[in-house]
Amino acid sequence: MARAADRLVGLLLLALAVYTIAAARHMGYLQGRIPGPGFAPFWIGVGLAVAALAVLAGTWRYGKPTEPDTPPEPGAPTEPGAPGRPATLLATAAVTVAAVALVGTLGLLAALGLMLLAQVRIFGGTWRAAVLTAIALPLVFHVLFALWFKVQLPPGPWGF
Amino acid sequence: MDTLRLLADGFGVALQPISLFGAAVGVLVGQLIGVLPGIGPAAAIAILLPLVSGLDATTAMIMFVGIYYGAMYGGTITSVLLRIPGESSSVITTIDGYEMAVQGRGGPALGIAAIGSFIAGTLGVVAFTFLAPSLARVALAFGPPEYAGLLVLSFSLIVYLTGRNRAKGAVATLLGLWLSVVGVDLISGLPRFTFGQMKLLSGIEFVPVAVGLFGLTEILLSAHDEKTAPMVRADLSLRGVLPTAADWVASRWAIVRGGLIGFFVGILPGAGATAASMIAYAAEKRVSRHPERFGKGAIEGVAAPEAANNSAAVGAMVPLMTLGIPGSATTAIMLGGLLMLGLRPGPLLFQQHPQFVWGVIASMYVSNILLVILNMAAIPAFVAVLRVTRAVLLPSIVALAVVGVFSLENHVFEVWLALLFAGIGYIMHRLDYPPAPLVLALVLGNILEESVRQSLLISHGNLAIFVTRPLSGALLALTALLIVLPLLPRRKGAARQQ
Repeated sequence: MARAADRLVGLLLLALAVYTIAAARHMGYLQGRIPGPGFAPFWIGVGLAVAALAVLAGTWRYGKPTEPDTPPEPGAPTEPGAPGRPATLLATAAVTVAAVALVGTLGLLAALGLMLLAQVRIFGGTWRAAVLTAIALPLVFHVLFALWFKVQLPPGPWGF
Repeated sequence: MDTLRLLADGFGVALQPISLFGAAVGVLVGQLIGVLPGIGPAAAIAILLPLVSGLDATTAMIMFVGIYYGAMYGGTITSVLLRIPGESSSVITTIDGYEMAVQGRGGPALGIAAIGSFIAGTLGVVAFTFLAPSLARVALAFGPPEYAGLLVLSFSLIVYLTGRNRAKGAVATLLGLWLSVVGVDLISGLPRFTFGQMKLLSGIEFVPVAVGLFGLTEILLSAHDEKTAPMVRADLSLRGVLPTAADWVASRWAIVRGGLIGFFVGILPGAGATAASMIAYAAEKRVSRHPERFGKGAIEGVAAPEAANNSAAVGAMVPLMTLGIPGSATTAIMLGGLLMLGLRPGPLLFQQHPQFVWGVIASMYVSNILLVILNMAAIPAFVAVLRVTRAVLLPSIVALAVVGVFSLENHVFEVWLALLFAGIGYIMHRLDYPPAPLVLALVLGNILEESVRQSLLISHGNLAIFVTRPLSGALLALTALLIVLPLLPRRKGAARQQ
């Protein structure tokens, strides 16, 4: 699974590299005798292609997704593919994306309040903790950002 | 004498109420961040960047440095009491620190870590005080080719030393460089990789990338991998954490050695506090008369790595302040923050903004004192924070990140950008791509392109300028060595296998 993901990312990087090189040639590699706007993108694309090929080669050469050049540190973070709680992860991400999508409709503070309510529950908090956090934190943000920093937070239909 | 006079002026800045406030808030936040496993100083500074945009650069930097220091101290508490490192730089402390706690000596383990960190941190700041101005003077001779060479060497070093797979480190660096060229080219006025988006014409903002890649990614990782462990009971009163005379005798040279190793390793781009603490531990075990005690609760096994990680944090400030080149993710975010506040770190900073430079240096002394007081007297309070439920804390950090990023431009586009980079950061972590080179390259990419273009303008397009000037030639030769060296032993090994 991790090897397939590594190969897929390697191929995507290679595609990005090819696109970058092609786009850089259109931008203009040189302007007179000095580098044009395409100079840096061209070499970044070339470098990216080489590095992506090295990553791809690694997935075939060793029969593993990537053979580390150095051994892992003791207590290093979770290894790729290690078991975890994907449901919590997906729910956290989905709720965050939904909240940001709702900013225009509900206003920033209300959308964040709903996000907090859902996320505290997702992380296993009690309803009491969820409701208190969902009310208190947006209030703190209102004082800090809207009143103190004078940031215009997008309001909802109820004016805040 | 000049240095001492400038340092005295710096104390004039560092002891002003607003600076003391910045240092106190910084060390407190850093300490809290360090106590919480999963959230690092890079994430904390990234999330706080939008909040400090209203502050002056000196106070903001004093706060950032306090966070960096505080996180180094705070990470120890969970390493010793829970066997979970609050910071990657405290990983090695779990070995002997936790053993000490199991043996009922958790208090002295935390005490020697705090005292060791204070001594090594202060030694590091003293070294920084006298080394940095000299290095800055040397760096003043740098022209565009030398800067280009130095940046290429820094990128190579960070790829060489960060992460376990160098090809992936190189990919991360090149992605960062790719992101840095997005937007209107300042010389020709041509838009590059903007895909018709008006918001991308001014380039990709650094803060949403940093918040996404570090702050939000760490929350996603915490959501996926819950770390829990029973806490070992320990006497955390002031008397309980004070090391005995025997502890002190056993640890004093370990602290000095760890401090020296940490400072010099910290200067290297990409090496960082984690590598410093591991090297210091290994060195201490090697010089010990009783290496068999290591792993079984040796107090030197706590003192050396804790001293090293703190002085490494000081060492990491040397290339940032003198050359304008950050060596780690945290210092890269600090650099991004300073650029956002209108200051460009580098040798000219010492000439043009001495109040800023010396104020920050003096604040390091102040932060160290604040931290040792906090650590000796307030460990129980930080342990209490560990009991605050993650269920409230993690969503609160997400909400703060969202509102903070929004406040930058008053636009939801930056929030989407942060979420996009949170997803990218998560994939990078899972597939073992280091994020630090990406953020470093994003911050420095424009400076590299500018240096290369200026160099070729000077030489009328002749690439030889990079190798004929002694310093840039030497820097590029070092880079070539870094690229070629790792390939040599493999060939030898392969030949042996055949």
